[in-house]
Amino acid sequence: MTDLLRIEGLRIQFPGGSQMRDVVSEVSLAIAPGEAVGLVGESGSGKSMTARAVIRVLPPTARVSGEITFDGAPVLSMASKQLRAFRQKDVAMIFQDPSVHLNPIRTILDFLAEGMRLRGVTGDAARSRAKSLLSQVLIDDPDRVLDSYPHQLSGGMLQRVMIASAIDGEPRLLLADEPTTALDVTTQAEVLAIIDRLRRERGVGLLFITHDLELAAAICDRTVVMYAGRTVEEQGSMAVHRAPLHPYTAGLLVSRPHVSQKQARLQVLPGRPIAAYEAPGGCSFAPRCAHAQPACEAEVPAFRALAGGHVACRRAEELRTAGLLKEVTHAES
Amino acid sequence: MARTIIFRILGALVTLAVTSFVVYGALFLAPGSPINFLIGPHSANPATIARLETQYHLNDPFFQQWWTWVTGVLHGDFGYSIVARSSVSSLIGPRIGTTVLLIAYAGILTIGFGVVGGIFSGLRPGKIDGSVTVLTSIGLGVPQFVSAVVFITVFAVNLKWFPTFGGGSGFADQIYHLTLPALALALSGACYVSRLTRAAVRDETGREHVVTARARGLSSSAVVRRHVLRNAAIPVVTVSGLTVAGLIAGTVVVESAFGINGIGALLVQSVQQSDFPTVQAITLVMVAAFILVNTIVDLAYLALDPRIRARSAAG
Repeated sequence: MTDLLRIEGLRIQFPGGSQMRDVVSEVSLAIAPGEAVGLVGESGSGKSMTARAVIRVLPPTARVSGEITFDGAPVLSMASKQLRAFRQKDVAMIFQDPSVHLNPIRTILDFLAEGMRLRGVTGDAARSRAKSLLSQVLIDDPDRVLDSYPHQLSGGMLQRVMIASAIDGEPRLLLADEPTTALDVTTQAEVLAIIDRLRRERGVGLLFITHDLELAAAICDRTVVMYAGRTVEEQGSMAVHRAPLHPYTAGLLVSRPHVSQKQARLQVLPGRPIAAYEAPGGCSFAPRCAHAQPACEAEVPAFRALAGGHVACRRAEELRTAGLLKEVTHAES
Repeated sequence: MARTIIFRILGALVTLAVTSFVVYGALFLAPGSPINFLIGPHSANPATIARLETQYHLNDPFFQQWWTWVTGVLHGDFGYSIVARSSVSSLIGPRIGTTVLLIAYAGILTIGFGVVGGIFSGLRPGKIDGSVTVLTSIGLGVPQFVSAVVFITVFAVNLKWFPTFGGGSGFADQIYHLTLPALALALSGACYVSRLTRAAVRDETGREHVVTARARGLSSSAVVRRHVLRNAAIPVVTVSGLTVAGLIAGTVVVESAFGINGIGALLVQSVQQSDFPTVQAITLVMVAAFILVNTIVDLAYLALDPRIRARSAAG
């Protein structure tokens, strides 16, 4: 089966000072049709930029290299007409903060109808389609919402509107960039349930970006972990939890608070997350890694297959066999 | 919404009433008695003095005097100019058309060049933007009396493209005569509007909702039209309105420089001749025009921005 989306060796740079700085250095991942893939990493690890590169809405100063293919078609070399058709029909994106992603001076109806007009649906037909879309995202009073402006609606409501607009074009791929981070907890659960249900019903491929490993596991079939602009691990979501392959993932897992265990003190990963351009020569995670050896700093580890997944760590097998990745050591900081 | 509009209009009327009070009261702030000031440097016989006293109701209480003047103004009676020996209305009447035409002409130039230049430079970073920015920085710093003199020297005296003097007669000739004055009047305002438009367009282009629009597959022209320009219009309309209102005061300088017989030049002349009734009348007309433009801007703002609409409906 061909992949729906394939990202290979993606690199994104921005001008910073006199030279170009990496925001994403090396990202590779694939999504099969109907598959949900979680892209997990800390703020600044380059996950949002990766998603924006897929739909090509990076700022004009960005320099992008590597390969992105959708259903075999190269995305990065699409001409504007092709690109528009790709955005209209094949892919949709929802964003972290819906309140800034909707034009504040246009009504919700205007927003939804704008997308429909591209597909030739106008007037009363557009309004009734908008109403049906809103009821699919569980909005009880679609008429009131349609005539509202964004500032009159809550974040959860606006995110539903964004989802409604995303599914309107019946895309085969949905890019969700931390769609629930800006929402309060109860709304988060509702919005996640909506995304999950629509995805399953429609067989839409999903790239779900989050900083929360558990959320990724709950929604996604596979999880890809990014650190400092690189993919460092890729595995089935359950496997990531049971048997992480990369010391960074293992570190993230132990640094979560547990409800069931009382801990005197939360374990933390020493150091701070770094941006791609700050990364040292070898493994970017080496300076924070409890298992780092001098050789780790010599060269960037390859992203290679291991135990049904992929990992970019030269000591992965060793650490796994020794059982060191479960009980991640941590320097008290 | 309707309530808000009524409030804005009432507000404008109150402002206008207060202004008329100040303008009229200025007569009493002048040194000496009002009657001396009304007569000015001219000698007046007792009959004239009596007529002025009756006309200005100088023996009435102040508030009543003001009221009489204002009701007169509302009926088109601006009083009598001793200097010109005619009614103020007959002085303003024939001149106001020229001034209105000049302001309208300069207003169109200000908004036209300002908005178009600003959009171009906002949407096309690079050489176009760079040159527009340099030109507008220069233009912004040029006061109207300087631009007037430079334009006369270059385009009227040296190149002889335009007349140096006068307002012309007949519409086409008037436009021809008013071109240089309008350009001189509009220059710095157009530069200001252009810079603001550029900033507004830049600002909107970088907004996240524009990313959403692009990500949905809208054509770039639709993105620019429906999301960038439409949103940038809100600050641009405000500043354009205020800039055009500012042109009203600028006519005083430009009309004098180009020898145009409008109310701006008449104001200067009346001040020099201490023709107080005329000064009062012109000041009031200019302030009224200023308030009118401001009110229109306020209402346009309401029409353009639903957030302001919501806030004023709530408040």
